[in-house]
Formats: sequence, structure tokens, C-alpha cells
Amino acid sequence: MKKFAALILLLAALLGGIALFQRRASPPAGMATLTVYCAAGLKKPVEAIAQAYQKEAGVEVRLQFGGSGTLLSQFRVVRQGDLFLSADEGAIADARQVDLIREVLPLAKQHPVIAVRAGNPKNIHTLTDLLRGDVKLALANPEAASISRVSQRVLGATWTQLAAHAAVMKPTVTEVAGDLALGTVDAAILWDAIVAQFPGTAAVEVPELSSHHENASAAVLACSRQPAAALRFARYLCAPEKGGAVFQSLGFTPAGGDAWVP
Amino acid sequence: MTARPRLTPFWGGLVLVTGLYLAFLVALLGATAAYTTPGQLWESLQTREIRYAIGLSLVSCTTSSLLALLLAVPVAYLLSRGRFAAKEWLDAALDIPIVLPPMVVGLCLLIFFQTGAGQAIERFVPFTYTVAGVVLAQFVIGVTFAVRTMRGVFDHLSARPEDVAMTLGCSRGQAVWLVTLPAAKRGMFAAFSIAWARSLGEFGPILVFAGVTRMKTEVMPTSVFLELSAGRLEAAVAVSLLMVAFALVVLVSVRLVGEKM
Repeated sequence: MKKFAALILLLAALLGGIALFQRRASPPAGMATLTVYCAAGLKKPVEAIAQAYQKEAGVEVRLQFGGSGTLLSQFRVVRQGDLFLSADEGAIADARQVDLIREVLPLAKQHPVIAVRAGNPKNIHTLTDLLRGDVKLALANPEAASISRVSQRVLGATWTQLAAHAAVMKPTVTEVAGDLALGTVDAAILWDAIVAQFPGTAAVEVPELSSHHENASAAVLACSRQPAAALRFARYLCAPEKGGAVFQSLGFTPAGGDAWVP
Repeated sequence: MTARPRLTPFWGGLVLVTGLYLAFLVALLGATAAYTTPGQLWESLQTREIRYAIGLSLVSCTTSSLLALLLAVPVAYLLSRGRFAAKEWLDAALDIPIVLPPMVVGLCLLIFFQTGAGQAIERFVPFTYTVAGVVLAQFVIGVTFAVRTMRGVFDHLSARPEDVAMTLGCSRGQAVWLVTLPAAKRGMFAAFSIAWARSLGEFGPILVFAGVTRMKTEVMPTSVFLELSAGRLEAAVAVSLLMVAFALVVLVSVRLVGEKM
């Protein structure tokens, strides 16, 4: 019985510890908090911008990362949160279809490129080169990643050939870029901005792909209980001298928003 | 079989605790099921890709858990009956695959097969991005659980019958083969089941090491992830429910066969 009581005491102490962790994770009293679902591909710039915003505006920004589609599934279920930063237009369109978002502001422009290992050791310059027997190609799953939805639409029959030739498919652009950086594949089709973020990779521009631009955007969630505050942070993300400058410094092309008015 | 126990407060309490936990599980599944419809379930079953994923899941899990059992029996026997230095270290080392985050296990596999030794193996059996890679990823995790289970089984089997067999002229190997292994049969079924169940749900290592190439390396958990990544909750839930159904059928049948033998 004594042992059992000791066990119960230990459990109570542990639960107390958990509660303490939970409290430390909560924002200090009085500080406003924004919950932001952020596509993994935008992690670097958004983290930096959120930190600056917290200092400047005194608003805590809580970032939750994941693939655009995964995040969409998440807030569809929980119906909480304020802002959705999507790396592509597909997820925004899906979210609009189920009436989950309000205003949408463009953050950065991106276009598909052929991504190769730094120095282009396999000498890849055209889409036809990707079909060579000695080229190991990785693609993102077209069901899950908008880069492949876009390239599928733009390339048509060539895409079907590429898909059949691909050594592997993975659900997100970051996973594909990781494999390329690791050297398990020789080439991939990725957004130019993603290539800029992965050391050891380089972009090859091809006219068939570079004509198509797609926006990464910020969307205010319909379930947000503070839509004005959410929109304010979205405008900060887009403002050329604030968020835009950070996006630019990390290899993105800012979509160009209005100047920041505090 | 033992007589049916009367419903005393003691048994009542046990039934209550079990019932509450079971109700929690059923509530989880029920709430999840509300996110899909029978039509959606049927539609998922009709898709060629999902049918392929189901087939590959069942075949790869069975292969990997049989392989895991084959390795687990000698390793667990060594741990249980052997006396040697640093046994605790070997014991702990065997747990490494379940301590590591699943994605990292996949990454380790991916990196290993990029090294000289890995490349040499790839020349004979290509693992990276292949179906063999799916089986290997499941095997790495499944072995850990199979070894744990078999270790428990051997620890609880008395060494005496084996010793007696040896005094009657058996070698150690014959004694194990003729006496210990038949006695451990039910334990082996349990070890297989647990490895199989783990492999069926295996996701991280497969995603990283084998990819999610449709009609090639897609298994049920990676299908779920793919559907979820595409924001298609209904389809993700449908495939998950199918997984639960398949798992229940297979695990119950394995248990029944195990009891009969």
C-alpha cells in the first residue's frame, strides 16, 4: 500500500511538472498572441520576421509549421488560429473552397526550376536531360505539393514521361530538396526560392518552366477571433521595407505590398 | 480453461477500468469515422493506388516481421541465457532504433546507403527508394520489439528441460531446437504480431528512405500522410479506418492460430 501511495505521489508531482511546462509555454499576461500556420518552405524568413514583429509591436506570434496541405487539414479540424501562410496557391484555393479564409495578401513570387547539385556535375541543362538514363530524378507528389501540380499543368505529356522516369517521389518540396542536397538524387523540379535555401544545390532555369509564377500568400482565417490583428501582421509580412526585405535577403522575390504604416 | 469468475467488486473494478479505456479508444475511432462516409471508404477501396498500398503493406509487413522474428530468436536467446560482459550495453543498444525519432532512422538508412559499404550492397540489392527499402525500414523497427518480446519469453521459460535434454545426450543446439523453441511457440506468435503491428503503422523511416512513389513504394501509412498533405481529410480518414480493420483481422487471426497450435 505504501508503494502504491508513493507511486500516486510521484504521478501527482509529474502532472504538476507538466502543468508548469504548459504555463511557461503560455504568453505573459496582457500580451496579445497570434497563432500562425506557416508552410515549412517559408520557415526561415517568417521566423525572422515574426521575431522582429514581436519586438516592434509587442505581439507574440506563435508559429506552427507543416506542409501547406497538412496545415489546412489541421485548422479545418480545430477551427482555431489567425493566419495561414501558404507556400502555394493550391492550398489557398482549397481553403477558400471550404470557406476557411478571408483576406489574402501575396507574400513572395516563385517559379519552378530544375534543381541540380552544386556545380551541375551531371551537366543538366534541359528537360530532356532529365530523362537520361544516368540522371536520378526526384519529384514531389502531385497530389500533395503544388510545385508538381503546377509543373504537371505546364508540361503536360513531358510531365508524364518525367513522372515515369522519377526514381522517387516525396510529399513536400523540402523533402525532395533534402535528398538532392544529400546526393541520393541528381536532379529535381523545385521552386527557385527553395533551391536558394538549400546549400549544395543550384537552379537551372528552363523556359518551359520559368514562365509560370505562383505566389506564396498570407490568408486571414475565417475562424480568427482577432481578424484585425491578424491582417496587421499579414501587412507587416508583405511590407517591402519590413517582411519583404527579409524575404529578398533569403532568395525569395517579394510580391510587393504596401509600405508599413504602424 | 478456468471457470468463469463471479462478478465480485474486484473483477467489477477490472472490468470498469478496461471498459473505460476501451470506450476511450472507441470514441477516438468513432469521432474519426464521423469525418468520412461509407461512400468515401468504398471510393478509397476502388482507387488503384490505394489497393496497391494495401497489398504492399500486407506483404511487406509480413515479410519484415518474419525476418525480424528470425533475427530476434537467436539474439533474445543470447541475451536471456548468455553470460558475458557488457550485456546491459548490448541490451540498451538494441533499443536505439525506437529511441531515435522515426524520420532520423530513415535518414540514417539513406545516408548509410550513400557510403562505400552501402553502395556495394546497393549493387546487389538496391534498397534506396525501392520496395526492399520499405521492408528494411520496417524490419529495423520491428526487430527491436520482437527481441524484447522473445527475451521475455526465454526469461520465463525454465532452463531445466533444456539441461535435462543435454544430460540425455542432446547438444545445446539440439536441446534448443527440440525442447525450448517448441515451448516458446506462443511467444513467437506474440513477437511476430507485435513486429507486424509496428510495421503496419511504420511511417517516418519509410517516407524518408523509400519515398512515397505511387504504385511503387506507397504503403498505407504513407497514403494517409499523402492525403493529409493534400488537405483531403476524408480520404486520409478512410484509409486509416481501413488500416484499423486490416490490423484487427490479421492480429486476431494470428492470435487464434497461435492458441490452436
